[in-house]
Order: sequence, then C-alpha cells, then structure tokens
Amino acid sequence: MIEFKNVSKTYEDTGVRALDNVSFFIDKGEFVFLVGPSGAGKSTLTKLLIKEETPNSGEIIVNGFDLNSLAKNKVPYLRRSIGMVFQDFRLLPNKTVYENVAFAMQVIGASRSEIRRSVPNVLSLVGLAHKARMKPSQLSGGEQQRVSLARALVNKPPVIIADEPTGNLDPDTANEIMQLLCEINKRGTTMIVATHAKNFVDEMHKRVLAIENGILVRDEEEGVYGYDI
Amino acid sequence: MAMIFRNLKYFVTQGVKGLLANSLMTLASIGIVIASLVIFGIFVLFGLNINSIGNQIKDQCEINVYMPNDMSRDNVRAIGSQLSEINYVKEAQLYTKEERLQNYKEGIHQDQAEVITTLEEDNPLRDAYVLSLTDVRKANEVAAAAAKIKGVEEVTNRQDLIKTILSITNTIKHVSIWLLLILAAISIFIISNTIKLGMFSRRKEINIMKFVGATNWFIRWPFIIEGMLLGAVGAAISSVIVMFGYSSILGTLQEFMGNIRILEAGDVSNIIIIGFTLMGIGIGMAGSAMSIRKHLHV
Repeated sequence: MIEFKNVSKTYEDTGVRALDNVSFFIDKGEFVFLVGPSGAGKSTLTKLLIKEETPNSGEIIVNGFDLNSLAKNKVPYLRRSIGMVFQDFRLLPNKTVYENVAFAMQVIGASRSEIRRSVPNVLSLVGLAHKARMKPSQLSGGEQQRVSLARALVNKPPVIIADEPTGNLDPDTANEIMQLLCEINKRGTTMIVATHAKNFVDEMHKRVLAIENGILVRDEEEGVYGYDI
Repeated sequence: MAMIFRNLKYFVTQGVKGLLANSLMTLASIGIVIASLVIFGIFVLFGLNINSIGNQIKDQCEINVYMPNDMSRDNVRAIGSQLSEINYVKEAQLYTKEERLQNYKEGIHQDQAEVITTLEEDNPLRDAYVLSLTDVRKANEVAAAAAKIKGVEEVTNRQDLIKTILSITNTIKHVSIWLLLILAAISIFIISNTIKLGMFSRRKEINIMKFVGATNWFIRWPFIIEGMLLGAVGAAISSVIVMFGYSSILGTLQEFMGNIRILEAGDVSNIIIIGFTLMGIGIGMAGSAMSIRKHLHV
C-alpha cells in the first residue's frame, strides 16, 4: 500500500521543482506504469519512495511506514519492504549469480540456512537456476536483468519498483522481462514500473500514472502511454 | 550488539579483504603505526626508568654530616646526640674516620696499595654521621638544622639530585604525551585514507547494500574492523621490536648504571604490550571513524 498526499519536492541546490502537489494511492497487488518525459519527476518519485530524498511538503506512506516521521536509522527497514530493479542492473561483477542474490539476504543478516533455502527458489522463479555459478559478464543483458530481479525478490518485499527495467534490452528480451514482472505481480507483489516503453504500456492495459513537469497529469485504469517517442 | 556477533565472521572477512585489496596503503598504514609506537615506546621506557631511578635514589636519601678532622671523639658523640634529636631524623649513624678509611680500602684496587699506605699514615677523612629520615621530603629542613649545630663542618644532601630527576621525569612525561598526540594524529590520518580507498573500491557494493536495506552499522562494521586490524597488526609488530630492542641493550645499560637498577624486560613488557595494543586498536578505530563520518553517507 502506497499513498502520496499533496507531495511537493524542490531541489534546494538547483531550485528545480521536481514534484508539485502530487497525490495518488496504490493498493496492495496493483500493477502501475509510471510514464512521462525524461526529467518529468519519475526518478524523484522513486527516490521519495525509498526515502533517498525527503519531500518539502506532503505525506508519504509506504507499506505502513510514515516517511515523514521515519527515523533515519529505520530507513533500512523501509527499504527491505521494497525491491529495486534498475536499468543498469547494478550487479557485482566479481560475484556469481548465486552470490549476487545471496548478498541481498546476507547484508540484512539472514542466516545461512535461510539463504540456502531461498536463493535457489528465486533463481528458478526467474529461470536462471542453471546459471547460478556464472559471473554477470558471462550472461546476456536479459539474463542480468533477471538476476537483478531475483535479488529484488529474494527478501520477499511486498512492493517492487522497476526503474526502466527494459531500457537496455532488445525488444524480445524486454518482452520476456515484462512478462516476468506480470507473473510476479500475479503472485501478489505490488509492481511499479517507470518506463519509456510505449508498446508495453499500450498493450498491457494496466494503470498508468503520467507525470509532466512535476505534476501528475493523468491517473488512468487501463491507460496508454500517451506520448510520441 | 547481537547483530555484531551474528555477523562477526562476515565483518571480519570483509575487513581482511579490505586490507588485502589495497596492500600498498595497508603496508603504509601498518608502517606508520609501527613507527609511531616504537618512537613512543622508547620515550615510555626512558620515562619508566628515570622514574624508577628517582624512586631508588629517594629511598637512599640520606644526609651526611661531617665533623672537623681534629675533633675529639667525645665532642663528636655529643653532636651525634643533638643530631638525633632533630625532627624527622630516624637515626644518626656514626662512621668514624677509621671505619671510613677501611671502607675506602675495600673499594680500592690492590695496585694502589701505595696510596693506602700514605692515607694510613695521615688519615685525611673526617668522622661523619649519616642521618636516615622518617620523611624524605623534609631533607632540606633537616640538613639546615644539622648545619646550625656548633662544630658541624659540612652537610651534604641529595635533594638537588632528586629535584633534577623529578624535573627530567616531568619533561619526559610532557614530551611523550605531545609526541603521542602528534604521532597518533599522523597515523589516524594515514589510516583514514586507507579506509577511504577501501570505501571507494567498494562503493558499488555499498550502494547495493543501502538499497536492499542493510543497516548503517552493518555497512560500517567491516571498515571499523579493517581499521582495528591495521592498528592491532602495527601494535603487535612494534611490541616485538621494542621488547626485543630493549632486552638486547639491557645488559650494557645495567653495566653502565652500576648499582642503580635498570628495569628488567619483564617489568615493562605488560605496560608495552597492553598499552601498544590498546593504542593501536584505538588509533585504527579513530581512523576508520573519521573516514566513515566524512565519506560513508549512510
């Protein structure tokens, strides 16, 4: 469950008003596309969700955490409830696929037996069980994105935020990743996907939040991309 | 706290990996810790010995009161009873000039028998009282009172020597503390740079740790342990250097100092080893803490 109430954010150093009085509510288990031109405020919105930035005004509630009153040392617990997937995968090149996923459990203090149980499960969910011993450099872009998705999933967060997850992938691979995101969503995980991939947004008929110049201009069930590329 | 123990193996492994990853900076850091602690150790050993010498001399603090060479033994004894009545005098022990000559003969080499014969013919030594005190701090007072007694020719006391030694001890204490502060600051600076490099080379990992929800302390601990290890290794090596060095010059030093006892290696080993370990680890932790504050924005 995610709620934004009249959220505004201005970057003090540049004076840019990145978000202007934005309000929306995302229910548990929803699939939401976040669209808008580059620099419209999508990244700011995701940064606010994980409290990498704080708003100048307004209220943000994520998975029961009230972000305005959330102490700095509790931020890690907020982040454990959100899986992050990035356009550039952000895998550790010197660790194997297995270790990259296990790392996410290790650094939140999971026990070895928990790690040994969960990592193979999540790797087979993304279809990479057979490549567990490989290094990221031995994988294709799509496979690397699956690893990063597995890492986001392994701690079983209720929400996944994917920032341009198909931005670096060819159309076929992008399609596979998008299908995988849908499948994970069907198992109950709330999915927020920031994207420029018009074809997916138009074909998948999911909810669309469109941001322009920091203002939420559209919030449509079964929406479309609505911009020319 | 429970988090530290549960993940201790992970933190230590990461800390050691950090040390090995920047081996050149690691060596530089350990080197500077060794240099600092060895220099500091030399001062500490010097200070401890001066202190102990001071104590030994204090214990021996006696006042010698000399009578004129031609004074009759009865007069000498009369002065002796006056001396023993002075405040803070525990005992006034008479050494006659004959006894003193005998002592002198025993201390002198056989080759110089001629000298002794001359001395025996005309003994130039004087009868003397040696005063032992109940409170050595009153030595000057007692010496002054003794000098006032009629017939006393000369009074000597070692208070001046003790003062000199105390002031040397004090100077060494001050110099050591300043030296320690300066050397520690340099070491902390170098260690913090080493840790900073470690953070830089692991910035990707740190970034991932942050967004998967590792706590701040989970991210910090490996760097703190890295700093502690740098300090501890430096302390261990410098303890060995200092103790080995001290043991090897101890014999020569003791010979040179004669009957004033120099501290044995065993007397100082605890101070050096425990002190160095605590200081090394402290310096290492301070270095990491500085880097964490400046560069690890978690």
